[in-house]
Amino acid sequence: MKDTMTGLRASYIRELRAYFATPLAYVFIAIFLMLLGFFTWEASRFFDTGVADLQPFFYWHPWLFMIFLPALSMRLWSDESAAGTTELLMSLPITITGLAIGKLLAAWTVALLALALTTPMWMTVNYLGAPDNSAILLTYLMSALMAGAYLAIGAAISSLLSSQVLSYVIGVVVAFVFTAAGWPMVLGAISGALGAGVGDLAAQFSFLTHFETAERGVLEVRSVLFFIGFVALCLALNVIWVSQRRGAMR
Amino acid sequence: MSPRSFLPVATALLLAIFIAATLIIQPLLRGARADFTEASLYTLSDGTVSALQNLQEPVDLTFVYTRRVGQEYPAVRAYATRVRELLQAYRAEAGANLRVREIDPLPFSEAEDEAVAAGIVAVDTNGEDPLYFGIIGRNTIDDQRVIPFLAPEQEETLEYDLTRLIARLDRPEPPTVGILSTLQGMQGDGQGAGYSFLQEAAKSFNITQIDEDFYALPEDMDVLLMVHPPDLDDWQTWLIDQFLLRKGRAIILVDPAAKTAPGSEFGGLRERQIRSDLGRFGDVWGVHLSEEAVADTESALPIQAPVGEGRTNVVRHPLYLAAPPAMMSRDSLITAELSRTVNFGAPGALEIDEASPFDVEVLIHTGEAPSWIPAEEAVKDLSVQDTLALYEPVEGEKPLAVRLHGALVSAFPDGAPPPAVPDDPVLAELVRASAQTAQPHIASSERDAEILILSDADMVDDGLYVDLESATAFADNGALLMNALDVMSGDANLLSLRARASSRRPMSRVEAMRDEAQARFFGEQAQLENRLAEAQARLQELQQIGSTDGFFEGDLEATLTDEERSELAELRTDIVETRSRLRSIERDFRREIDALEGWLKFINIFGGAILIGLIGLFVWWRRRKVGPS
Repeated sequence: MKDTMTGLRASYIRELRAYFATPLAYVFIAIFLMLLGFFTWEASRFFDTGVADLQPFFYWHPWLFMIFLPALSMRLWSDESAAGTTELLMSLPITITGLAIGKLLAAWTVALLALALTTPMWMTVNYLGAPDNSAILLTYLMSALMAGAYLAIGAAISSLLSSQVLSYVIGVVVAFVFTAAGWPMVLGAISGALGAGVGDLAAQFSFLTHFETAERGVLEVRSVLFFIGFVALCLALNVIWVSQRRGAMR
Repeated sequence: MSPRSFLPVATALLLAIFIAATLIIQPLLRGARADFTEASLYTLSDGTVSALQNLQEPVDLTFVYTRRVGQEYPAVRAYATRVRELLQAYRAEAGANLRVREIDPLPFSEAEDEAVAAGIVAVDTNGEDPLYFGIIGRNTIDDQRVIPFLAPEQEETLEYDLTRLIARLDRPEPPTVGILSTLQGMQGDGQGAGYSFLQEAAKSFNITQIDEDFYALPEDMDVLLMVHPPDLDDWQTWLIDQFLLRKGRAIILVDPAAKTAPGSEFGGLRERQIRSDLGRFGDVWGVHLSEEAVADTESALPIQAPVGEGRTNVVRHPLYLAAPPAMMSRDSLITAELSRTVNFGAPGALEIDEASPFDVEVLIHTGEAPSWIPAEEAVKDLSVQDTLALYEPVEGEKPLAVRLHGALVSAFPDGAPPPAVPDDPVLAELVRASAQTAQPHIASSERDAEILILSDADMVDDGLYVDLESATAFADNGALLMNALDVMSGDANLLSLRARASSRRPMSRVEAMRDEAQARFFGEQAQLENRLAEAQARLQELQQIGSTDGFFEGDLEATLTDEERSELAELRTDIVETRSRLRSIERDFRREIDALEGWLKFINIFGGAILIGLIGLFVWWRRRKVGPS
């Protein structure tokens, strides 16, 4: 009987160490934070809105996640196949499910650290006025959940491909599909070609749609379920894809 | 199954499960939500719930929305979802008495005809198909009310608008508004004549005129609207006093200098009444109308003024006030949704006693350095220059509109006064008869009073806020008064909806800095602006002399004396200097705020990156110290 928890813990610690052993995670977080700050203050002109509301800040989260998070998760499995350690892993007395969850959680931890380091933004808005802090907390939690969904996409795809670069590019493309499904430009095109009903259906699968209610300070149970369901789907795909490779290797 | 086909099949199966589960679960959980906003903006208020639960007759709501067009506008799409879900919440609360349907008016469809016939606005979308986005409400006797366009920026009042629409449909007999006014434009039933506001009010309310010499008030009156009322005798005052104690809903527009008052000083049918005030009520309520009118440079209304030679120029006239939303209360439903100015013509100021027994809420106020102008001057057509010559700034904002709320006591502690019996025997008999049937005197409120007082009667005049050519309003005078009538005549359900806090949260620190800078610079700025206006007026005067007399000599300044010429030169340098000083004041004004922005921007763009860099350095240093293990 292989132990799922052991595998989870072992791979979580191993991957987390790997992230911080090289400058990758630091550089990644630093650039992410600078871009987020730049977009909030320069593109959305946060200060000129005159409103103590983090909406111009949260607006950019899905788009930046779309670009950055596949970079975090691209190496999760591609690395193993490139280094040829997949076989070694498979021979260990641990389940693939535990491994997959552990790897995802490690990447998620790095994303959460990045999110935590945006605290100056929260302090700024409290310094400037009296924002609705419970609504902000909700939006942060939802953003963290959404980050998990973006990472899960990248993790699943990296288990299919042995090239990191390729898995990054395809990860961004898939993430873009799930982000842009709720984007007015794309939605308008879908509705125009296939009817408004199809457009509304497509919007139900968009991260933007589910994040948007949280931005207004409303916790929708269906949005939480959507993100959890999406992470579960990607993990399941991840597991069967990895086991398939193992099967093929034998 | 071969291992080769297992992968695609399993993948497809998982995707199908996810898609099916999403499509099934998403609609099922539509209402499952928790409202994290502090003011519970997305939860139905008690007022709405009680209005919906007490519906007497079925009401049909039709949500009109061009989905395909709306989807191209993110704000509209998000708002449409919100409206749709709010309507569902309404239906859940009201049960069978509220029917909701949605139509999608594609071009040339029956749905489009229905929307247009009901008065839903077709919004132009850059030459594409029009966007219809509104709500039609109908009741069983085919009364119809519509929200012609659901503007996303008015989300704050969506619930109020919807609940009001339903409440109106549920109670088809509109409330009665009694009007007591000496102004010509306020006479009549509002059907095609009179001020725009009167005509607008007549669409939503029963209008009953009260004669200037009244000896009884209309029995079924719900709201009393007094606009520049005549001088009242004791009996009339007592009648109003008793109405306020029993029904307690009144809107009162008084004016120390009513420019629109009928009659003239010379040989008119009667003496022109330029002042109206609160009379006996002022002492009881603790609110008085100033003797003098106020002018305000900060909110001065831009008007076309003659500058000689038949030319006109746009100048800001301090005696006409255009109070922007920033000078209005954002907490009261009456003013919260106004987005344009409310314009006044030589208003007075309201003085509120410390000891007023009411909750007094100032809805509109002047700028910070208004000036008193004698009423007999203000009522004339004073020019900008003449007004500025009389301008002596006084400290502090003056209230222009206040709302009183609370329990009243009678202004007649000794009971009803005897009616003034006219000489005409027939009239005298009528007066006696109505005095007999008058309801007994009561000394205190039966219900809490809601009274709105404005210190200007001219604001109802179309000239101040309606573009006469297009008949559209360019300021919110009419909207303010209609809001007030709605709030006053609505049942308690609607009134409680007013308490919804605005979801707008200003950067209070920045505003405080701006206010402080304003306090520092405003005095000097106003002074400089006055000096500039004076210098320009004098300059014009001199140039006019030159241009009329010296025109043919080709030298505009030829006929000026040496003294006048040197004055002209001085004036010109003075004007240039004053202007540059004004500009530098404006720069100083923003300097600190700009510095704050710069700092915050730096911290937020680079702060996190520096922090993570430090963490990285620390980890690296620890690792080196410990050494490779």
